Amino acid sequence: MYPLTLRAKTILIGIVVAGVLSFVASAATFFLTREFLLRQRENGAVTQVLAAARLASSALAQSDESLGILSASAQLLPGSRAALYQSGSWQISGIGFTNLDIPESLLLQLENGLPARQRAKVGSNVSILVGFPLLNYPNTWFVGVVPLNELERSLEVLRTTLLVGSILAALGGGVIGNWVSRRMMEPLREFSSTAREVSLGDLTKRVNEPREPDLARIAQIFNEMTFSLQRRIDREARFGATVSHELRSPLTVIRTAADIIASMRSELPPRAQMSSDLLTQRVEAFEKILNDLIEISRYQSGSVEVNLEELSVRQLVETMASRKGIDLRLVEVEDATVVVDVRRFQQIFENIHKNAELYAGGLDAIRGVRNESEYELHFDDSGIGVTIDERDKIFEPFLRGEHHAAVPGSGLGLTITLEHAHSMGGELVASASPTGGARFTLSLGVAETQL
Amino acid sequence: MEPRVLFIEDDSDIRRVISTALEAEGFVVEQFSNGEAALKGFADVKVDIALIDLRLPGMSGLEVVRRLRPMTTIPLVILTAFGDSHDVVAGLEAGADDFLNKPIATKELYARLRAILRRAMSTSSEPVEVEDLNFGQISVHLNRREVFINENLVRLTNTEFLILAELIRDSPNVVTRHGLLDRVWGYDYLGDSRLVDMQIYRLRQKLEEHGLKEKLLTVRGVGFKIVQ
Repeated sequence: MYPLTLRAKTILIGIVVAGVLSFVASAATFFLTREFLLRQRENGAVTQVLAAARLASSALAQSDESLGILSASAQLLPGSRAALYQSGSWQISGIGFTNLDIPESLLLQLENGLPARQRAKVGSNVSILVGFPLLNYPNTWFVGVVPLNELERSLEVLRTTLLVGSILAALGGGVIGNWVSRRMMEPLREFSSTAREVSLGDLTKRVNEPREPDLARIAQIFNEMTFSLQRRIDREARFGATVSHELRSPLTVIRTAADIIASMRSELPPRAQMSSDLLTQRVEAFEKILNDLIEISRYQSGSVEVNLEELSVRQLVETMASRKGIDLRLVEVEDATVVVDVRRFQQIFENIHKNAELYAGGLDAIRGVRNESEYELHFDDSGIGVTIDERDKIFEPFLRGEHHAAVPGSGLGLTITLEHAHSMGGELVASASPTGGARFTLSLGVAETQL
Repeated sequence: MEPRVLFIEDDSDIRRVISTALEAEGFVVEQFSNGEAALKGFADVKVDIALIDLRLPGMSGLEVVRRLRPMTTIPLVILTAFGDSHDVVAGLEAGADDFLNKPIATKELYARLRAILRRAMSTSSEPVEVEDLNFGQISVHLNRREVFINENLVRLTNTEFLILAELIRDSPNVVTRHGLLDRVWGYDYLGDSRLVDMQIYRLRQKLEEHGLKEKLLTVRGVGFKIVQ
């Protein structure tokens, strides 16, 4: 089962609390009202039956036609039901009423010469039975039946009303719960969407401070956190940029000096030649790493400027391919005008080409296909390929394929390549080439004039 | 004749080592460690190209470019930090013709300087018989590198002159940015198109100053053309 959301819980609590409270209040109201009404009705019934009993008593003194007397006195009662017990036998007046309806306990009281009253079911209705011993006649009792139908009906109405009230109160509780939760959740929802944007890298996002002081505090803390995070990243990016700049001056000297020495290679003794070669190689590699670090720090600090142009993809690819010494027969590129930043396209091409050379002995094919508004450029090789698990990982900074720790590089090449692709509004994904090697697919936008 | 380079760089090690490399390749280098000295000495040194570091103490490299631009028609090349877009744009706006990144491989440095110089010096160093171009009110003397509009001499930099000549040669066709990068700067297809845009902007201003409004047209997404 799914755990309930905070909102559902609040609504549920609203319903339960409001429901239970209103139910208890309704029940109490109902029972108190019922008792009060019943007592009143009983008192009324006692008075009525007493009057009827008196009438019967005084009539008995004048006549012994007991059934007539009973009927006459029963007229005083609503429903005209009464019973007269005289010398061991019952006289009954009224429909649907027998002496068996009179409860034992009531009879016991009367036998003891005491008046009694009791609620009991007569026929299908609850009624009050009131019995009086007729004082002047031994073993003679008058029992009157006063039905409680009307009262029962009133109570029925009251019960229904209160029940409906309880249900409405419960629903009201739900509505209030909903309102409260929404009021509470609205800022939280905003927090979460903002937090998501921040986590995706947009550190300029801030949440609006809600009016509720508690939530406002959370918003403040959140905003402070984002701000300090942003400041820290800025500082790190600036640090990176400064360090790179500082490294650039000595590197310029080393690079040029190494080149000068290399240009006099033939005049050098063998050991100096080897040293010169190593120096040149490593200085070049070092420069590449430094440039990668500068690029990545630019992307991280967001200080990247893109210079988009609309150019022929075939010319771009063919120029790069011939510059890199790739056989043009390997290039099968459908022509289209694409949107690119030339410098970045060059670096993407160079990085993918270099990767293929390092890991797979070079590119096998460069294929380009136009798909509606998107152009897909596939760079295929026949190396060992990229496992499915590694296809996303290889674009992460400083993470390289498992088996390739021995291959030199900054570990930033593909990260930068991906950033370059994104900065031009494109995409770069790794998959498998038709020969089972690696395929890097660069997607570019097709120029609007061609759509 | 050896090409002569004006080199302004404050870091003495960089200045020495790059000068050495250039001299080893047959360039004659006039070195300056700051902008003020270079501007003062500029009249006395006859150079074909200037290589200017942008980060100079005192007067910035940008300011040096800005002041040198009206003084000379030679190509001004700025040295910028790798991929520093702001520096590149600012340098081109100040009047630079091209830019090079630091650090730079010496081979690339020679190749770039030669490519720029070949075009800048092509007529002066090896005079060939070329016909002048006449295009409406504009007449271009290719040998003397002079442009006249309605008989008035127009002061164009070398790069502006080359662009104008290319546009007139291809008129009424459109010349693409990358075509200009190839033919004027000597880049293959993949040069930086911002170089072209800034030069076109300046050239257009100069033409307008001489009453030629709306003659140098931008064809969106393609390139530029000049009309009579």
